[in-house]
Amino acid sequence: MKQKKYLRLSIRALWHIAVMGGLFVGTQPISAQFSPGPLYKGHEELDDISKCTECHVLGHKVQNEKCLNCHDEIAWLLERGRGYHAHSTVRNQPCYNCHSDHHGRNFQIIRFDEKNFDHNLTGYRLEGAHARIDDCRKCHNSQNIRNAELSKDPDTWLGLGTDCLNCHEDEHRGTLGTDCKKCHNLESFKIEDFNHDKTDFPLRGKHAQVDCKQCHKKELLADGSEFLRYADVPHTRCTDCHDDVHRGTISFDCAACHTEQGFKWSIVRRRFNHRKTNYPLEGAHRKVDCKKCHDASNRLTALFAEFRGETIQDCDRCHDDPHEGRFGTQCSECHVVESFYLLKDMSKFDHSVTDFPLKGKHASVDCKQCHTSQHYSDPLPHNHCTDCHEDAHRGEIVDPVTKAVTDCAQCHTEEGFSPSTFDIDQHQTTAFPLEGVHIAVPCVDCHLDQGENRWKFENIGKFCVDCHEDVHQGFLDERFYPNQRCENCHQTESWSDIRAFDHSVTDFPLEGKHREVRCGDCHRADQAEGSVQIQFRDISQQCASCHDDIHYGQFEEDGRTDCQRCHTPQGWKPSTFDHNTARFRLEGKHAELECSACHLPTVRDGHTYILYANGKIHCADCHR
Amino acid sequence: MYITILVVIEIAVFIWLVRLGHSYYVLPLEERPFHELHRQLKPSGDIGHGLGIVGTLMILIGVFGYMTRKRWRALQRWGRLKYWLEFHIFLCTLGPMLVLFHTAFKFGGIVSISFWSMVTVVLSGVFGRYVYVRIPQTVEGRALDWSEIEEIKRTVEQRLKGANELSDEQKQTIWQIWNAPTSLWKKKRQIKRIARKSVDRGSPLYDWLIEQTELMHKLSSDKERINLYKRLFKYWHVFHLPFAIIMLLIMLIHVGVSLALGFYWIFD
Repeated sequence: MKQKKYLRLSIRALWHIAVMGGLFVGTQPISAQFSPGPLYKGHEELDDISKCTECHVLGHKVQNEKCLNCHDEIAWLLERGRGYHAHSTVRNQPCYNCHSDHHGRNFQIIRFDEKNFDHNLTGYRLEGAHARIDDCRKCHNSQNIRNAELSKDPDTWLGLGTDCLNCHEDEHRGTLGTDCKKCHNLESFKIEDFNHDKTDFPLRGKHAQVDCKQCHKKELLADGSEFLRYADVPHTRCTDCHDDVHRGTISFDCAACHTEQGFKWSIVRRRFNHRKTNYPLEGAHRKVDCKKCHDASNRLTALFAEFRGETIQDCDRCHDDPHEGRFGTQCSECHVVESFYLLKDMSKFDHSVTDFPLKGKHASVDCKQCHTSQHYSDPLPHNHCTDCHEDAHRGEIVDPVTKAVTDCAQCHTEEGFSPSTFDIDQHQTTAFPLEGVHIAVPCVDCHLDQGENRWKFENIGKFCVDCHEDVHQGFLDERFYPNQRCENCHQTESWSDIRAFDHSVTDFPLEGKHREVRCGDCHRADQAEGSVQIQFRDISQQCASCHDDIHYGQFEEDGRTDCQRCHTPQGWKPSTFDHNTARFRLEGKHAELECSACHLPTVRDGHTYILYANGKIHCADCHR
Repeated sequence: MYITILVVIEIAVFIWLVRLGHSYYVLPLEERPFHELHRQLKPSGDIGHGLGIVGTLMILIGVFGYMTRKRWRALQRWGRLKYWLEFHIFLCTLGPMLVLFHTAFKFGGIVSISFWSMVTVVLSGVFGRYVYVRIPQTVEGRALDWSEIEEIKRTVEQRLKGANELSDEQKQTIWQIWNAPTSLWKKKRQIKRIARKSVDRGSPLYDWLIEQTELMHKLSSDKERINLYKRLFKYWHVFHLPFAIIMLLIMLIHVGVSLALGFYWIFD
């Protein structure tokens, strides 16, 4: 009884619980009763109990075929072996390994780790700049998806092509084809090493250094967009890119003068073939810089246009005539283009155009005497006479101050070494000014070294004895001409003029008539052994040593006659003789008598003389 | 010891499951598929599905084993009903725990009725156990009459009075403690304190006093309270069993659908 009661109670409780449970469960759709969870919003339409088998296969869980029945875009890729799902590590997996469901409406059924996703599995390796893109959606976006259906799904990762132009805009507007990798790599759009040699215009010289944009310039298209043209850029003529700075004044093609190495003169000079002109360059003209003939200061439009239209160019169009017209205008009669210094006929050579016009004796010298080298045009030193001439003075003539060898032109001219132009006036400026008869002496007397047979001008001495022989040596006391100084006695006016000598310094000062006599009257020359020697020493001061005793020994005492008893240097007469001191005093009439009244001439021993010591002291001696 | 082992097993399994799947289970549902253990711990995963199957088997064994033992007289000699109950409690708490982890804490659909029914059954089981232990029973598990209780009390009182090692005052105090409406733990502490004064620890009297403390505690409730527990326990059956039946019925549907869709666990 009790158990039946419990059973009834249990059944009733069960019923109540079932009703409550039904109410609880009934708040949710029937599909939810057996579903492990809501399908994500993409599968929402399948969230119905009648559609379980759309995905599930009874007894076999979820099969990939069921998924691919709907997801035909994946099936399409799998069939063609393309895309991530076709990779061997992916295609054999159940779809639900990555795309399970029943995790709620907002479940991300497609979610992968963008940072660590191995893009290589998709069949499109991310390399270069692609590998550095952080945001996958930069490429995987609806704008880059060509398939209209796929592009509607903002969450899809499918539908992206592998061509560059699938994502990148064709900046070249189709002018360079569609194979971008011909020029670009995946590192950067900027091309660092584009091989321009592949084009019709290989870059050479300066072209290789020019920034691409200098030639490939931006163009403004009709739609207002900018376009950088790389293909079909005109390039057959230089002026396609370069301005013609000559403005058509030069008829030659640019390449006639210029190369891709630059516009430099040096290149133009090497490049241009002057033979193409009316004036082919020959000889030295070939080595001349263009600017020598063509005025470089001209504006570019006038450059090289100086001779345009001319057929014959005379030399004087460029060259000055150093002959000042003396040889006419036909330079080529003498000159050749190889050099001005190479003459067709040397006889016509005008040395005056050189830096060393020939004058005087130089004009008659044979060319080869100076031009000893092979070519007359070889440089020849000519600033100093000694460049050609030997210095006969052996460098002795030097400037007193600088001690430099004196220029020959101070004394010599091209008219000859002799006569020298060194005159008296110049000599007066030397250490030995010429005086007296020296002025009249020929240079050779002093300056010609007989021993060496050459002219000497330096260190020839300036004292008399340096030139003159000291004839008094040994005959004249040195105290009268110390150190052989002749000028103590002599004058340069004349040897014989010895008025300068002061005889009073001698032991025999000249007085009276002595002052009037010639030196030689007393200092007589002794001619011995062919030489004339004038005695100045050891001359007796006795009157008789010079004077003759006209009294013939009348007054001689002890073998000596003392003239000064009667005479003075003032003259023989009047005598200082005082007749009163004699033995016969003159008194009376005697005093008035002429001497000759008593002292009569006498002849004795062939000599006629007045006899003063006649011994007549007696009247009778005279008077009769 | 027997209970301890079972409890330890349950706690160990719980800790193992929490440690294994904590990071997975705390994720929002939308994030779980991207967890590295999703394929193992999802309800249909190798571990998750296994937990469901093993847990279900534990529940089935626990329920039907105990029911059979309890209702089929032929098995009445097969072990004491007390142990069967404890084993029933063990399997029917461990099993639902495994099922709980099998659900991965997703509670939806018709199978959730089964789940919540299971939860209800478990919780009611706990409540039932609470009531059950408060009803004085024989060793066989039969509830004692009030007169039988009175008799037991008298026997115990006689035995206490015969204990010469204790003073009268102590005996009186012990008797008062036994009949006081305090907790068992407090009673045991008081009894031990008194007993140690007169009796050696480990002596038969000491052990007897402790055992009788537990018995007297069970018998200490008054007659009305015991009758209340008895009534509650009768009606509890009405509550416990229907939920178990609902749980089992829907579980069958859930298993059937799973098998029909090809989820054979490791037997694919």
